[in-house]
Amino acid sequence: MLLKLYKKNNAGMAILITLTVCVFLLVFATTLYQQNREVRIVEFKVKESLRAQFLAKGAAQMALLKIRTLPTEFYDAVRWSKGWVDETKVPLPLDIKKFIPNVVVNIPGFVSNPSAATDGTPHYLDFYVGFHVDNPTPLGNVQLLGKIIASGSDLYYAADMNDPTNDPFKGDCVVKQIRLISQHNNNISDNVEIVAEGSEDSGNTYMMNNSLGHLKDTPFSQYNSVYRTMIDIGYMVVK
Amino acid sequence: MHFNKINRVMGVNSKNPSNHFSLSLNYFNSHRAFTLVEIMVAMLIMVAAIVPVTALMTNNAKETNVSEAYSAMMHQSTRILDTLLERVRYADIISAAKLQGGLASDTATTEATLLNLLDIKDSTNTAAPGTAVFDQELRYDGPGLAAGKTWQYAEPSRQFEPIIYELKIRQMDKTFRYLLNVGIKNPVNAIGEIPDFNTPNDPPGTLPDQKKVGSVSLSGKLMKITLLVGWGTPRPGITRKYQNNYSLVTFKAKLED
Repeated sequence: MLLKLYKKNNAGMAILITLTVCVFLLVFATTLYQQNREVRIVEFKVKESLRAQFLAKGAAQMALLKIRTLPTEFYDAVRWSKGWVDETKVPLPLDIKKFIPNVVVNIPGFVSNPSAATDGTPHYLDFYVGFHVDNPTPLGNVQLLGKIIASGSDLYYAADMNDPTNDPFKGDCVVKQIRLISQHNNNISDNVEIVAEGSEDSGNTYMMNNSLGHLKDTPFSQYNSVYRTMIDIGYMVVK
Repeated sequence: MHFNKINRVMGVNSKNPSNHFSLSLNYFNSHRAFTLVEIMVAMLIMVAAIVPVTALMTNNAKETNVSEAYSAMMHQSTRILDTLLERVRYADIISAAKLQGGLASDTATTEATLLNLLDIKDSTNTAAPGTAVFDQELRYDGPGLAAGKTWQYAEPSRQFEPIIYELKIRQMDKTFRYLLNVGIKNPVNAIGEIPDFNTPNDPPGTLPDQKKVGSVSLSGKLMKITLLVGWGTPRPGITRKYQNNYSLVTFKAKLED
């Protein structure tokens, strides 16, 4: 049609050319907008994940402080977690720690993989129960453990809420697992593996809901981050 | 050649004086050129298309600038906090807080603000005592801001757009509970026999040394660290100190002694 029009008369060709240019401009602008939007969303999520990550690192520090403060009780807890060992039946050289296997602890509500009969029971993890906040009916956070931030508890931390210009947020942290490993005949080279989780909530559901179609219509604004570290506690537990 | 003459040559009736101008355009039209109306409409369309695209590109450039700044803020914040958690002694941070933030004592739980991170000195550096922990990577001596009060990201292009870092610390009293090592001669062989913190199963009247749950309270052993980051002059009408802000929170335990 355009060709016929051209052959017949060039009238209107300027508009056609302009419209063609405009189409290219539209494509360019759309691409620009989309890229800009993606960058902003990714950047936002990185910012949130960093916050959650540092809360998790803070929880690991708390765990280390407890081990540092209560080293004997920590080893007792390890022993209790697997059942008490009768010291009188330990063969020479009477090193009871040789008989303590590695330990995995669960928080209430946590389901191990594979699941175990003791899942969700508050046993050895009570050593660290002081860090835990949970909600039996989580609504907003369905992506990890069903844990949701609860205000008013000792795990509710607000970043500079008195000065909202500094990008405030809510968050909490919890120690999820402590594993005592690499035991030897003394505790000089004992190591613990600490797994902690931090959660933060910026309150921005728009940014956090993007690109996560598997959650469907579930609105959430919370980001969780898991931190795992291996630390030599030999210098801590020797008094 | 005068237009009238052109029109005569082209066979246009020059006695019709209604529109010599449009007639002369017919000359171009007859040579398959654009009409004035066409050009005007096309220009309007172009303007309508280019203005929003230009605005979008301008906005994109600003956003890119802000994104780069945020990347720098996150990068440097991570380095600062990781250094504080893993390389700096607890007591060194407290010393800086007492010096600059007005912290009353080693165990005070009031919040202290450190505006100058250079005040955190590395006490383990015996070769050069008094050296600031962030001496090399964060010292800023640019114009317009007091040296040592602000911090720049190491990227040269942002040398004179310093990112401001402030540190707020608040020590927290902490109580840890634990299962008492009692009944050692009565082996526990099942998890169900382990007392719970909330329901320790101690019968009424249990003597303190026979209780199964104990606790220890700590002061001056745990601090909450809030790193506040700001960058950019606020736009008109905005009362914030900086245009772009970010904050991170973590905790540090006193493990060194």
